[in-house]
Amino acid sequence: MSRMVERFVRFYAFLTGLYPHAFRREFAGEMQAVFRERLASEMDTGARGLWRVLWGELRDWPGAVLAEYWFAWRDVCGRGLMSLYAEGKSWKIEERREALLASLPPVLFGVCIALEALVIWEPWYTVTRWRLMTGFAIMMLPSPVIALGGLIAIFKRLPAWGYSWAGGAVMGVVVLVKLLAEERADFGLPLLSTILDIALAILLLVGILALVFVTAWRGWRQAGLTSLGFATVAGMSSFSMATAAPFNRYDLALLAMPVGMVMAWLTWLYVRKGDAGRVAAILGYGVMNAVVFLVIANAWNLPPDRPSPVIPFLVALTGALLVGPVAGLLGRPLRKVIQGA
Amino acid sequence: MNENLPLSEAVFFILLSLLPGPKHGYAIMKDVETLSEARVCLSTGTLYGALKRLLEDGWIERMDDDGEQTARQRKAYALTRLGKSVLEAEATRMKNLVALMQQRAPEGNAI
Repeated sequence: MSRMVERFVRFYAFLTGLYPHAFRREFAGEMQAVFRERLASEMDTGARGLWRVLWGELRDWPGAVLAEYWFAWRDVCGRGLMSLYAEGKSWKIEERREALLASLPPVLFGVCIALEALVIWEPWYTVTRWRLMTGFAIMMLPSPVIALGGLIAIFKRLPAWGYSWAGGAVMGVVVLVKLLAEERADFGLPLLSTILDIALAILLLVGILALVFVTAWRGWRQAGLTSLGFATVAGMSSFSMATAAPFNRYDLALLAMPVGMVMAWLTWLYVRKGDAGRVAAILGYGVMNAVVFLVIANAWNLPPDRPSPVIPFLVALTGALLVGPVAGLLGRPLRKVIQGA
Repeated sequence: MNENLPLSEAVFFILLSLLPGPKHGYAIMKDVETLSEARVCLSTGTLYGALKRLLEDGWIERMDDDGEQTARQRKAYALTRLGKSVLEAEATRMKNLVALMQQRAPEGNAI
């Protein structure tokens, strides 16, 4: 019987471990002792009595835990929304080399897209095969580099420079899958099969959410840098839409270079300056992505009876840009409750 | 004081249990069960959630239980002056309700 008591006490200790940190620190020891006393008082009634005590606790446990999380959350939020900004260590990249590395993805994309445009320049069916292949090779170059950088960043448990790379890599996979799916859709075919396509879409969504969750857990500033990575790839991919047939607007694709430079400068601002600089960088990214996409969508000259992709794409771009910092800020009270910060 | 009233049944019984003197968690739990004739059976989680709130509101206070040293440091809980006033206010509120009912009850059916 005493072994059963010990098992129940250990199990109850596990349950008390799931209360908010502050509550746990203050009361868990006492609660476990009281639970033990309750079990001891039921020893005479045999196993049934012990199970009755445990059941009484289990029945009330979810409500009690949720109530404590609610009160803890309310306490943190009650300190005022501005305290969420004011508290916590400020985060920025001190080392210039690391900051440059964090700012590199948009430059890489911008330069390569612009170079591809210079190499091909004319409709694909009018240029020689080697020009076409060289142009495509240059355009595709950033993708494996960013993917590799993103993987290294993830394997290194996301060092400061790695947030933008990881964000870029994840969004790069999304864009790649989208492009391939669109090509297949032109022939009325799914990418793999209907079921697998749905599974792939869910997997990509989970990947994005996992990255956002992990970085938001570290703080809104880090999650914001991941979002800049998302926005870089999502925004830059719109240039490839301008060069696609039948538009062949290679002149617009040249803009990728200055746009990439400005994005890199905004990323630099984001990782080196204070919170005002970060907000300015996010706003700058948003405005620039919107302007670029509007210019490119205008060049498509879509017939008025076709649904415009402008609003959905702008919503997706803005969402990609804001998901990180918003998740970081909203999750901050929860993180404090759990960590007892 | 009245903005805190009426008290929930669990809080009322916890405060009532502490009225004669300080008690530790397990004793409060058993006492509440006895006082309520087994109608209110607090789980450990519910009891300590309520105790936390009462401590924050200043209705009870915590003290080390010197009488019985065990492996853990046992804490006892005692009613503060504020907690006693709240309990008295609740008793007065209930008394007034009963008095009102007695006034309104038809002749011969006094409560």
